[in-house]
Amino acid sequence: MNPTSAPPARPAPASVAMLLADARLPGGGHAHSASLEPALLGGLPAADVPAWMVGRATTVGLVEAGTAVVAARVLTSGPHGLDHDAALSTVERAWAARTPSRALRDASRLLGRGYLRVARSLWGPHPAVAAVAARATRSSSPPRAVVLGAVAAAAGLDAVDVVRLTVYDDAQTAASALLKLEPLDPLVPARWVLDACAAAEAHVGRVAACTTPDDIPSSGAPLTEGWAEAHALTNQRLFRA
Amino acid sequence: MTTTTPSPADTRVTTAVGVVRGSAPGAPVRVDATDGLLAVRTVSRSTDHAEVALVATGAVLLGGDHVVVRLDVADGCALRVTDVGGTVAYDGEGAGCRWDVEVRLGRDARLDWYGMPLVVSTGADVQRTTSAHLGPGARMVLRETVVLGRDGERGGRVVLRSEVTDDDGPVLVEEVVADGGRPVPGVLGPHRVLDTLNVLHATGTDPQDEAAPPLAPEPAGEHVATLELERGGRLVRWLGGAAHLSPIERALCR
Repeated sequence: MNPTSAPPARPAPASVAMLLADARLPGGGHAHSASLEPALLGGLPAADVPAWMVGRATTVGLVEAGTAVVAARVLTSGPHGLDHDAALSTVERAWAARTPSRALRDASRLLGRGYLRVARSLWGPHPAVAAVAARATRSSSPPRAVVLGAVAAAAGLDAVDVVRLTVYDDAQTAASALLKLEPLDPLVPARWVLDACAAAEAHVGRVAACTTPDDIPSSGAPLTEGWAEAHALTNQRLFRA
Repeated sequence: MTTTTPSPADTRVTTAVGVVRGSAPGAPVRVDATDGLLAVRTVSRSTDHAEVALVATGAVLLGGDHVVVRLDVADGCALRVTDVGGTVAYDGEGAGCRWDVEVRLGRDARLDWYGMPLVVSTGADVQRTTSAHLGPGARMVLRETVVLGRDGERGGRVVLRSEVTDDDGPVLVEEVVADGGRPVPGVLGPHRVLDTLNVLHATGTDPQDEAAPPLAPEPAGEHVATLELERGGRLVRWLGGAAHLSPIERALCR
């Protein structure tokens, strides 16, 4: 076989999921604490962090996961081009209506920007990534969940794995931030990451089944949202959000 | 996406208030009222404004109750709703109860409802849903206070769902699930009271209009969060230990 005419080998979706979940991937996630620093500054007792992580994995984490799932779905169905842009706009609007905190929307768009850089350099020619990239401006980017949806569409990630990836990444981001904020045995929060992922498992099926923007979960966490707003106003912080 | 046991559809009892312009020039607005588990008392009327009070006709909320309050305000009209008292959701002994508010505001219509607290007793399982559609230029100020437990109780389970749309799509979609027996850090945490002032408007209103009086007072204080929505207004929110301590309460009583 002529090696120049063979189609390039494609990585397995599981390999792509591992890459995306790996903190060594320069996506900009290291500047974020997944709301943990705002929570600790807001008065969350450190002993409550594991329960708080489970709470995230079953509330706001599912909003992000559902947004990514639906973004991927609209990008893999139907004609391309302007229709995709309109569909993405509806997805982003649904996400924004479910994310009442401006601080959290800003943080998610900043993360989206870093993720978009990764997506463009690795899957740039793919129409799903191109459609999301076209929505980014000099000052703003689609939120991280929407960019993740485009990557999922480009790399062929299953919806259930998109949900698990979102929950895992959020929990691991909080866990690694915790080590910088509160000294403790680094293996202890690793257990909490798995506990948070396990708590989300009961929801994975229904979130992965979301097809329209209206289906996206809207489970909120009022204390976390209030802490995010207070944190955005302070300069005594290590993390962006 | 809720997991509360739905009450059977036949238990829906609807209280409805419709406000439309009077038929003659200069006539007061017409108030079309239907009593349900709550009765409607018209307090006042003018050419474009009505105020009604909602009065419980019996003990609500009991297990199996399904209160529906439907408010329909026609183009250019305003409605103010007052509660005569707070509401206690009692131990339903396994039966859930529902409280649904359905709002439709016409073009440039307005609704003000500074609701009294909903107290969720231990053993109660409440699903409270507020759905609203705002016509172009419509405004809505809605206060919703939920208290987990009567004095000395931890409180039952409640699912609070809000879904507000305008002609351009969703403005606010939120579901908060709380259970006094199983507090979740980051959701309500140790707090028993979630007090929210929703100050919302549809596309077509100018929230920056300097000449317009503020829609609602501006509470300030510890733990008051102002959540600026991407579009359509904001939520002012307080979490605390007792409803009378809320800065929102203080701001409204000034």
